[in-house]
This record gives sequence, C-alpha cells and structure tokens, in this order.
Amino acid sequence: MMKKSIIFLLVLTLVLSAFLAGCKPKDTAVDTPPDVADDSNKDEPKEVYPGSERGNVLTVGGTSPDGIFNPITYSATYDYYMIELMFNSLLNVEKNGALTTEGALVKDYTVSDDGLKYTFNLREGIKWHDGVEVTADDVVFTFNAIFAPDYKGRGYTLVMQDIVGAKDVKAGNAETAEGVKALDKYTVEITVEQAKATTLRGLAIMPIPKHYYGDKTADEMAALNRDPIGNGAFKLKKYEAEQYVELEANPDYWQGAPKLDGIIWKVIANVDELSEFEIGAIDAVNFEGSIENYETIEGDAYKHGTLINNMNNGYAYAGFNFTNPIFQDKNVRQALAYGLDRKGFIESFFGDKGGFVAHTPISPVSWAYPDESQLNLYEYNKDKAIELLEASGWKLGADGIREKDGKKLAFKWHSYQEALWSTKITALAAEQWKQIGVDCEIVLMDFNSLSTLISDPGNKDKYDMWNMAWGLGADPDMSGVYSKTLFPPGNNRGYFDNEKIEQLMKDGVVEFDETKRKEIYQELAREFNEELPYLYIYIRMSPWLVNKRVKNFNPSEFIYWSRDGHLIEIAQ
Amino acid sequence: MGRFITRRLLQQIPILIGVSILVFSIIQLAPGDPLASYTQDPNMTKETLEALKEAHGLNKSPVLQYIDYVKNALQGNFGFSFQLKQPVEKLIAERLWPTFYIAFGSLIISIIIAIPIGVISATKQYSVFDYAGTVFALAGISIPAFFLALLLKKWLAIDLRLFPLSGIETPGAMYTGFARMMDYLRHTFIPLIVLGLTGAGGLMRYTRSSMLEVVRQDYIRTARAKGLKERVVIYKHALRNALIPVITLLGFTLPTLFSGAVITEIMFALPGMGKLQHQAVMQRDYPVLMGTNLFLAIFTLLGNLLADISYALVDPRIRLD
Repeated sequence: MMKKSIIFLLVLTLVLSAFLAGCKPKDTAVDTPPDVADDSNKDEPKEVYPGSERGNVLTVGGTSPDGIFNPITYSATYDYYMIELMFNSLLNVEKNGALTTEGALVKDYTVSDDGLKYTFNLREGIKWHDGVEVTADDVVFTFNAIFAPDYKGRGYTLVMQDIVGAKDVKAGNAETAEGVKALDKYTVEITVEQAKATTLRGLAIMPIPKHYYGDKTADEMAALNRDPIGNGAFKLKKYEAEQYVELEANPDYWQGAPKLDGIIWKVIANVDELSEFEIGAIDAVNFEGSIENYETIEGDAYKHGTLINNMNNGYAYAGFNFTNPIFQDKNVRQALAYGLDRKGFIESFFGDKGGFVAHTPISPVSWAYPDESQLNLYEYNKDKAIELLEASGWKLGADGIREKDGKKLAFKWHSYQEALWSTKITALAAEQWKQIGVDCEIVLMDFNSLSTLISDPGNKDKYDMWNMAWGLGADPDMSGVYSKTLFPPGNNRGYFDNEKIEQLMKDGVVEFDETKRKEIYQELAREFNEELPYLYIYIRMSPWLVNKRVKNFNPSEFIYWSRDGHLIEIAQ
Repeated sequence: MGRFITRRLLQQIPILIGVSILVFSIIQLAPGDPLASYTQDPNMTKETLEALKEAHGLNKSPVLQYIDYVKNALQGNFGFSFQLKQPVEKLIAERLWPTFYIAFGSLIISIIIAIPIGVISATKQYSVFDYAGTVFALAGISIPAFFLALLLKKWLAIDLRLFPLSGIETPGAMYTGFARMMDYLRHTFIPLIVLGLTGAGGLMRYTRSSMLEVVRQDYIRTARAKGLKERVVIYKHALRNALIPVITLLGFTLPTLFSGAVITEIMFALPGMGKLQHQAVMQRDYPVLMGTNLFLAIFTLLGNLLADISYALVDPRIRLD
C-alpha cells in the first residue's frame, strides 16, 4: 500500500516536470538552435543565432534598475540606459568626448565673449511622447526643478550652483532663477557667475516636460518615475520591479523611427551573466571582466557573441590621508608605489584583457592624457622602495619594521569587503610592504560604513589609507576630487593640499583655449604622477558580449550603447 | 475564544511600539549613512550634500525623526525609499505576491515530501527506508541552497535547457490566464525545488519524532487491540495526533512566508522581500528598513497568535479562556 503511494508520488513528480518542461509558452517555443555549426560556415547568414526567436526586439541583461526614469533624479547607470533611450539631451558628446549638437535637442548655441552667457537654440518641431512640442519653457522648468529646495537628486552640481539665482531658489527665497530665461519659444539664455571651460558640459542636461511635471512637488514628481514622458526614440511600455523594463519604439522620433520594435532590459542574476547569454536568453551583456570570464567566452558555446572590450572610464585607487605625517613625505608614498606589484596583481586578477595599471587621474582616451613616456610607471622594484625609505631616514628596527624618531612606519588601511579586488589588493600590499619594512594593518568593513568613515571631518585621524574608485568624465577637470576647498564632507578625503596642483587646476578650469588647456592638463597629469596623492591602481575594461544577430550596438568610452538606440538593428 | 483573541491583539500594541523603537535605534546606531552612495560622485559638492540632507529630513535629531515617523505611519504613510524613490508600502506590496508565491509553493513541496517520508520512517523505524530518509533529511538540511541552485541550474537550465535560468516570467510576453500560470511555473520550478528540498529535511525529522512518540501511546495499542487495520491505526489515529506539533510549527512559519529568501532571490533574480531588505541594509535606506521590519514584526506576532489558536482547534485538551 505504502509503496504504491510513493510510486504514485514519484510518477506524479515526473509527469509534472515533464509537463512543465514540455509546456513552453507558444511564442518562445522555437526549435532549439543548432548546437554547433561548423567553423566553415560560421559567417554564412543562414546560421541561426540563439535568441533569434525573439524577433526584432533587443534583450539586454543586467542588474535591476531602481525604476527612477527621470533624467534629473535617477542615480544608477542602469536607470540611465533606459532614460537615454527615452530622453534626448541638450548637447551630445562625440566619440572622443568633444561636445556636439549632432543628434541633440540644441540646433546651435553661442557663448558670450566673457564666458558668462550661454544661448541655446532648440530644434523646432521635436515632440514629447504625448505629442506636445519641446520648447524653451521645458528647459527653463527643468533647471528650476533642480534648484528647488525639495529636490532629491544629484543634479545640483557645481555648474548649477554657478547659475545666477540658483542659490536663492535653493534657499527658498525665489521661485525661479533669474539666470535661466526663455527668450522665445525655442531660445534659452543661461547666465553664470564665473566663466569656466567646464560650464557648457554641465549645462547640457536632459529636459523634462513642464506640462507633465510642472506644479508638482519633488515627491509628487517621484510618483511619476515609472510613467515618464520623454522625447527620445523609445517609450516605456512596462516596468516590473526587479524583473524587467520593456520599451517600445517611438515611430514619430525626430531622427527617424527606430529600427527595433522594442528593447527589453532583463534583470539577471550576477552568477548567470554569461550563462544567460550562452542559452540565448539575452542579446547583450556587460559582464565582469575577470580572467575566468574572458576565458569562458572563448568557448564554442559563445560563438554567437562578439566581444566589445572598451575601457571603463574610471580608476581604482588607494588614498593616503595627509593628516598623518608619515604620508606627508613624498618618498614614502613613492616607496609604497614601487613596493607594490600592481602590474602583477592586475595580470592575475583581470588577465591581459581586463585592465591595466593607472598612473594619473586622467582618462587615457582623453585628449588631455600625456604620452606615457612622460610618466613614471613605478614598476615593482623593492630595492628602489627601500632606497627611498632609507633616504627619508626610516631605519630598519629590530622587529623588521622601519622606524624614525622612535615612531614606527605603521598604519592602517581601511577597505571594504564587497569587492574581490579590494580584499585581494590589501592582502597583497600588507605582504609586499612588510618586505620593505612597512607595517600595514588591514581593516575590512562594508562599503557604506567606509564611505561614511571617510566623509566625516570628525574622523580625520581615524584612517590612514583607504581604497575606492572614481569615475572620469569627458572633461579632464579633476578639481572636484583634489581641490583643497573640498576637504570632508567634500570629496578630498585625503586632505591633499598641493599649491602647484591647486593653481594648475584653477587655470585649467578658466582656460577656454583648447591648446593651452591641453598643456595645463598634461602638466597636471605629470604632477599627480609625481606627487601621488593616491596610489593609482588600475583602470579596468568594461566588456560587452553582443549577439551577432545585433548590429550597430556600439558602446564606447564616452558614449553608452543606449545613446543611439534608434540605430540598433537586428539582422535576424 | 473571542475574549482571548481580543486580549492577545491588544497585547501586541505595546510590543509593536517596543519593536519600532528598538529597530529605529539599531538603524540609527549602526555605522553608515543613507547618502553615502552620493559621495561616490566626483561632481558632488558640500552644498549638494547639505541640500540633500535637508530635503531627506536627516538634519533633525533622531528623536524628532522617530516622532515624525510614527506620526506618518499612523496615517498609513511609511515614508519614501531614499534609494528607490517610491513609497515604502508600494515597494513592499509589489514584492509581496512573488515572495509569498515562492515561500508558499516551496512549503507545499516540503510538506508533500516530508510528511509521507516522516510517517513511513517512523512506522518502519530502523528499516532501510528510515535510514535513507534520515540521510536525505540531513542532506537537505546541510546542503546550502545556493549550491543546490547552481547544480540544478547547470543541469536543467544550461545543459538540458528545460527551464529558464532566472526571473519569474518571460519579459514582455504579456501572457494571461493559464499561459501566464504555466510561464510562472516554468520560471520558478528550479527555485521551488531548491527551497522545497532544503526545507523538507527539518520538517521530516519533526514528523518522524512526533509520530514515534504517538505510536507508543496507549490509545494506539487500544486501537490495534480492537483489531483495526494497520492503515487505519496509523493514518486515522496516530497521524492526526502526531501532526499537532507540526501544525504549530507551520503556524510559526507564517512570517517566513513574507520575509523572503535572500540568497535564492539573488541566485534566481526573483523580485522578493529578501533582496529589498538586503539592498536597504547595504544602502542604509532607513525608511525601507523600518517598513519591512515592522511589517515582519506584525506577521511574527500574528503567526504566534495563529499557532496558539490552531493548537486549541486541533487539540481538545487545550482551552484558551
């Protein structure tokens, strides 16, 4: 009796699973793609790539967006991808990072000779998704929404604070800023307090429609985050929290109807980023550039993928806290650089494709980056490190740790556990620095606690070193991180203060002549490389794996794949 | 019974207030800052941060913040998530159904597996089946969910391609009715099996030991002496009594039906409460942390009450008044 019921249960389970498996929903049920095609016909158009059953819809896999589809309040890159597909910007960037009006809402613009007045002429006839025309009023409204006291986004930048009247609105003393004016239906004039070369880029926002968001408080506007009205190539069709975002083509897009019917952002588990691509569930993925992943995609199961291996615009660093006298000595900082095998670390962590050593806080693809022969590469050299420490009077003590005036060459490095590189580089540093007589103690904490620790001026003497990463923009200006005016809670968490660098950074921002700017930033690059306010560690790649059925999916260092979404095509 | 329930419900109020104060204090005392993620932006200035602090109400003293919170909560407003910029009650609501579905579905699977095996193991104590069941239970308890998940994914989703790797439904498919249900089942088959198997072990051991105790009771011997069939003795007389503690145990699992399974959710990209809370902890998203913790506290209290009531219902020896 008993046995029968167990057998019954087993049979039931089997039948159920077979049933479930066989019962694929109709639309997705297409013959399994041919497993392996011979190398010989690899490029023949007849080969069916996995995922082709999804038709003219592009599916991109990745982390879940926050669901903030508003260009002035979003904070995650994944939200920005979606926003960029739905909204156009006042100005675009070219592949080399230069500003352009091509594909942008602004037809042409002028800057007054004193560099204080910016006049933007909008293209006429561009429509919001609900058919209303995009006008200068929308642009003015968007600026004022950023100035509003209850605004909760990261858009109130240095450039915004520079606009005449912005601070009054923020303080609640005015409704609108006098520095942002609509001269007529298609002309916006913006007046700023100081002439800076970085201003134009900062003004190139994505406007939001006044007739939709106007008269709303920040919280009421947030309630519309998942029902955006944009002016871009795609419209939001459906957002399922933590599952997917579905966009549909906007046939009336001003640059021509998109070639795709739609785009789906599918939320996938981190562990599956390559497997999902392998089984054809996603067409493109921005995977983690680890040595293992680069090896995996060499395999036969990934023959339908093309690797786009661009540099990620940013650098990872270990910062020195200059309030600790040990780090005020340049020889010590340089010795620590010589004493850590950064190149070896990167090779074992990222392989030869995934990243390279960073030398200075300027993007290597930027026009401002100097020739690398002008930089000191600080290649791993224990003897050189010891020489520098000896020169500064740090003598080896009995316990193998150097000391000077009775003080040991010992400090703490605060790091975070969430990222593997972070735990590995600290362990390597502790071990390699011990060999040159430096005692580095590692303190691991979670990322949020570390951020809080180093952002609070009250914690000035509670950390010696820490590690994190900074993003790099298309403009080389780095004063937002290194200026002595930005000690915590500002971004200069190492209390770095160097007169020459400070002056050069000031000059760079107010210099409008491209050639002269280039000279200034190349000099800055050399100065940073020499002074080492940070120990620059690596610049990593941002690899995309894209299904061969997709055409014109072109992310680059300064431009996301989503910028020209209307051009992306599906060949099968 | 009515009086008992009313009294118990009234007792929950001070407990809830206590819980809210406790949770609020722990959140405030923990290191970290909800605006820390903003400090990763090279364009961030002190002025911007100050304006954000003011706009989020973080400049007030913690006591005032707590009073504000309670005032709003009593009006049904549990605040706005700092990170997701949506009302907390909405964030919980949209994750509630998938969380419940996964937890309840896997609980059913656990029960289907655990109770028959538990009963048979008990009636055939020290048999091969009993040992096999025990090994199975121990394996279920000791295999980490993520490991089993990886194995099943590799086998069923990547090699055999029978099921999707992740998610809860086909994006953009817009199925309705039966097709949608099948789509759900197909997507969640592996996670349900993973959670069902890993949860079955404990339940099976409970059923077994409870059953072993019952079959030694006098009334079972009486039933056998009356000449009742073994089947009737075991399933009618013994099993019913043996299930009393198991039912209580299930009453206590009520809050876990809504608390989410964070590792499984992350492994399968499921939109659940576990992931929401994990994210909130990492980002120090205070309103979400408060909201989800209070929500789970309410369910824990309700679960306890339910367990007490079900005791009274299934066991005539217990009177609640």
